[in-house]
Amino acid sequence: MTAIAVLPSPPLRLSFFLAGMGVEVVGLAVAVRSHLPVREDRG
Amino acid sequence: VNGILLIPLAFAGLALMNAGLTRSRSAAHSLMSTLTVVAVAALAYAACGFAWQGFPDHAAYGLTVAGKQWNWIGAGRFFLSGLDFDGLDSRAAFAACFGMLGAALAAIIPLGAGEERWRLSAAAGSTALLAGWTYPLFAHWVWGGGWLAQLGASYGLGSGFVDTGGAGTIQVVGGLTALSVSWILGPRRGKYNQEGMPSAMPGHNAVFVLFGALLALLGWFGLNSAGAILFYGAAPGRVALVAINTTLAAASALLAAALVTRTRFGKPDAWLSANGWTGGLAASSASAAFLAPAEAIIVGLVAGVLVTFSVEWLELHLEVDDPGGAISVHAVAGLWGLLAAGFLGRFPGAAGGGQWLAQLAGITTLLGFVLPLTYGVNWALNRISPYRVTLDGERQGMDLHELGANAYPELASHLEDFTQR
Repeated sequence: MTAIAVLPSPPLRLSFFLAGMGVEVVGLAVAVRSHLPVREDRG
Repeated sequence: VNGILLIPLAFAGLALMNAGLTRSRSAAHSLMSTLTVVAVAALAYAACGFAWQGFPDHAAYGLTVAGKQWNWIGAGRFFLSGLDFDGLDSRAAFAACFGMLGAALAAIIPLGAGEERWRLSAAAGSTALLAGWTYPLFAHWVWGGGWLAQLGASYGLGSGFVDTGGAGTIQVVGGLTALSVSWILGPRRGKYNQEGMPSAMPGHNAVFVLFGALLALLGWFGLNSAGAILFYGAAPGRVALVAINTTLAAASALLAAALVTRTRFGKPDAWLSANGWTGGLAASSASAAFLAPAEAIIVGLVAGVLVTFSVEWLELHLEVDDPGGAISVHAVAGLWGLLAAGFLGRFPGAAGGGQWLAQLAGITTLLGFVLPLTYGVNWALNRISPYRVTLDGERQGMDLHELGANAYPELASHLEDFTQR
């Protein structure tokens, strides 16, 4: 959102936006993993 | 716009599908939950939801960032007061009606994920927060003249974030709430063994599921046509295109799901095919009025394949127990529809070629803001009043435990009752 608001140059805006999406994907992966049940017998 | 009156048929369709996908001991509870959440959603939305959703050019709160307005929440009056039901500006009244039915539809979606273990009163509480806060907030950003809709006018990103029939605002918001509820509730008792392998718990009535899918098509005609006319100024003549594209998307999604399951399992799977059909409907909601028929087929085909694999992936790898397939059908297919709209849709008043970036902004907002919001709200509510039924209640079945009577009294005995004795 910040990228859209403050960066006028399309390539710069896109790069910043995609980087933000990457961070979001990492956050989602952490959220998903944190909801997997822990099993002690798993290697 | 009178197509709004068809939307309750989508309630009926999803209700039948959810009921058919549960086991017989919880069938009446499933339908009772649907009626309850529709009732609560209508009241909550009328009380405060529409005031916060608002309508373009109505009062709203906004921030100014770098000289541009970021409009974030409506500032209307509670209990729908001040709406002009008779005058020339009755579009806001139609938007309130559409929004109320949309909030109720969004509230039905999480029921599919919480089947057989989500207490009725907890579902009602969750719905009050969904219809009274989460849904109106995102709906304001998309349909109430909020910042996502303004991305086109303010930053030259196409027509701003577009969602003509609620693929994001109704389907994805409901689907992400379904994911949150499923995470909070955990899987049904006996669903996974010690090694984490899922066991099959087939629904009790395939006829309900398949007929429900057919009924949902009529409801989606209303959603997709009324939304496009009300919020995006589509000409009423586009209703024919909406009906064609909605049907094509559902049809191609069903055939894709049937083909995938036939290829993998030897026979087409009726349950997954019905879910594929509904996934096609959810995906079509993003832009049915602004696609060519061939493009609607592409949208449906991909949605059908996505739903099939997503159901398996969630169940097998992420251990998310979603008996109704709500997350795959509504969230995954809805997100695909929103993305496809960015590449395929031709929307009125598009400024510049950044439509796909506007759609991505909406998708990241759904995943990065709405998911944590709806998870947080449900997590807090679960701490106050636990969502999950007791172990005895789950064993007994939700019908008998919560309602005091079974949907099918002649089938009142369950296998586990016998094994306990």
